[in-house]
Amino acid sequence: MMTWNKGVWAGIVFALFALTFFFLSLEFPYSSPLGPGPGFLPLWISGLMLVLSVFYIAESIKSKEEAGEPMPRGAGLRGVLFVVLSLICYLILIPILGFLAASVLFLFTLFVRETKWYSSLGAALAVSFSLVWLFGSVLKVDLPSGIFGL
Amino acid sequence: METLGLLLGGFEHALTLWNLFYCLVGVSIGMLVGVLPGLGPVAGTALLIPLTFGMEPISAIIMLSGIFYGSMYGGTITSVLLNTPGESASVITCIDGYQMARQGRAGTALGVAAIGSFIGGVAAIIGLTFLGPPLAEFALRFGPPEYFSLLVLGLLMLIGLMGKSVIRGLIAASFGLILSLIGMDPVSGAIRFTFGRLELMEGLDFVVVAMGLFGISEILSNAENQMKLEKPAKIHKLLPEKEEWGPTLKSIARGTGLGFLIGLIPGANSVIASILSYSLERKVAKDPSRFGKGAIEGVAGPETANNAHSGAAMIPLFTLGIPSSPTVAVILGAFIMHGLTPGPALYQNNPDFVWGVIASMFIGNLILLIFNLPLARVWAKVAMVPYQFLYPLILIIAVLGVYSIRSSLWDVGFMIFFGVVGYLMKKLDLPLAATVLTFVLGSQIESTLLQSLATSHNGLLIFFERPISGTLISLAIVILVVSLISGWKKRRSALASDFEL
Repeated sequence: MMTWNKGVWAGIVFALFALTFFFLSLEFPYSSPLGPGPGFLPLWISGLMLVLSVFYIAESIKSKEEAGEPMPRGAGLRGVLFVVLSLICYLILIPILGFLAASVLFLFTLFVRETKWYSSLGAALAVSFSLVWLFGSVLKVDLPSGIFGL
Repeated sequence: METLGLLLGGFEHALTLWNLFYCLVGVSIGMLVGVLPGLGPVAGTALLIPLTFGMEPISAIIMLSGIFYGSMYGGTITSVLLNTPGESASVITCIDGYQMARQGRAGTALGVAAIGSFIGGVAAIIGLTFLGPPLAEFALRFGPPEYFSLLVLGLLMLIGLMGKSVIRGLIAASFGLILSLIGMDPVSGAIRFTFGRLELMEGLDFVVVAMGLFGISEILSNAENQMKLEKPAKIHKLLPEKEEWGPTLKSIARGTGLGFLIGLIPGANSVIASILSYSLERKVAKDPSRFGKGAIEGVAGPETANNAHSGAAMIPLFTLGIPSSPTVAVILGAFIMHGLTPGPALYQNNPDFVWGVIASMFIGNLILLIFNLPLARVWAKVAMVPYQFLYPLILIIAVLGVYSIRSSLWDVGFMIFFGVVGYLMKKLDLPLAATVLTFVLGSQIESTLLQSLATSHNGLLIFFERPISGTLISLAIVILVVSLISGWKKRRSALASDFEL
């Protein structure tokens, strides 16, 4: 039983991506009175990408050894997922808790894996406050304030 | 002589207190980015773009280019002391640099690298000073067909030189191009691929895409493997022995020439320059067996070449508006953000800007020489900052930086998304550089193509009918065919096999 390597899956994803944009491109005029229209390049590029994806899938099925690095497993995979999930939670929490509180929480979560909770909390507070000062007061960025109004 | 006058005028702009300060900040951040493994020059430059919003364009570009060439110096330090390249152009330095460190000659390796970097860097800027104006004047004759052909050539060179598979390279390139089409079409005003979302009207922001693909993805890759750093070697005696000066200076000269030439090629990045220089040094050496055991030429040549490359890479950017590496593509994005269009007209419309930035690069290289000779020990300490405490900071600054562009949390979400995409693309060996390059050049590719076709009577043949355009596009086709054939023959490219020395 032959298992598909990751290149095949990636090829399918790219093919679907190209197909979506190919059909979306059909909505725009292919040509205009002045020459090619806004639908011209997207149609050709997504069409080309579709063909290339098919080649990519074929290339991946044929080749015995996988291109690129192996996908992470075990601890490696957990490490990657941890960072991605923390980022997503952070993004969701910013409008709710406000930038300051969300940042303290985010940094604390990442620091506390490596060191004691009180030093993590101290570092998280110090970094968050200095960044709010730098971006909020010096660079005049309007940071989201959230329910605490901070 | 006229050029010298203009350059002196440039120094007037570069030597103002604020611009000196920004130059110092830029090269310091560059050193930092170079020294810290896990943060490359592309991510570093992209991270800092939001900070430059309030600045004058000249100060912004002085700082950002400082990060670019500064990181080429900094990367050496960790390669030699810790056997961990701080950025990819210094990968090759690990081989002989680390061996020298194990023999107690870390100081000499760093000293030689600093001197070589300075000579290579300054020589390249002299090249930029004198080659830039005539090249820009020549490029003024370029119409849309010439530009389009040049863009295609640059892109195919990148794909042909970098990736192991042409198909994967082309997929990565079309991916970037399609992403760049999202939003309002500047030619017709049509709103494309926004899926009805107002947030996508202005298209995806360049900083968002670059920071995601390069910055966040780098952190994700690092999260996979626990980084453990060894204790760095001690540094003493920065200069080589008397009898080593001759061969060292010769390698520096070769590295300068090679790096400079490769910098001119659109698409060839500094990694290629340092790898080619290493193999050149091995070929010309009387006793190639010394390489890998601490040969001083193996440090001097590549380190010089990557700095000569970073200076020379500014030539296609300034004169043609074409970036030759991902970092230069980010700097190009910054140009556009500050309302400047890189290309031949830049010399005519903004001479103060051009010459100011060039002059600042001379000053920046001098600062870096001081940073790297007497102060090498200080930077070695910086490299010991544990990565576990560094990456949360990088992440939060990335989030803040992206948010501050348009005060949009959507952009932050897109950055995280592209971070994951970039991480997966790295795993699949799809060249990220090709995606970023077509993304940043997307609107230029489309407008030059449409303008050419609108004026053409014979459709696509217009690209072959004009002499300059015809030469460029034929060259592009040759490169495509050659890389396809070598791919089919399943032969590993010469570069890839050299790399696995």
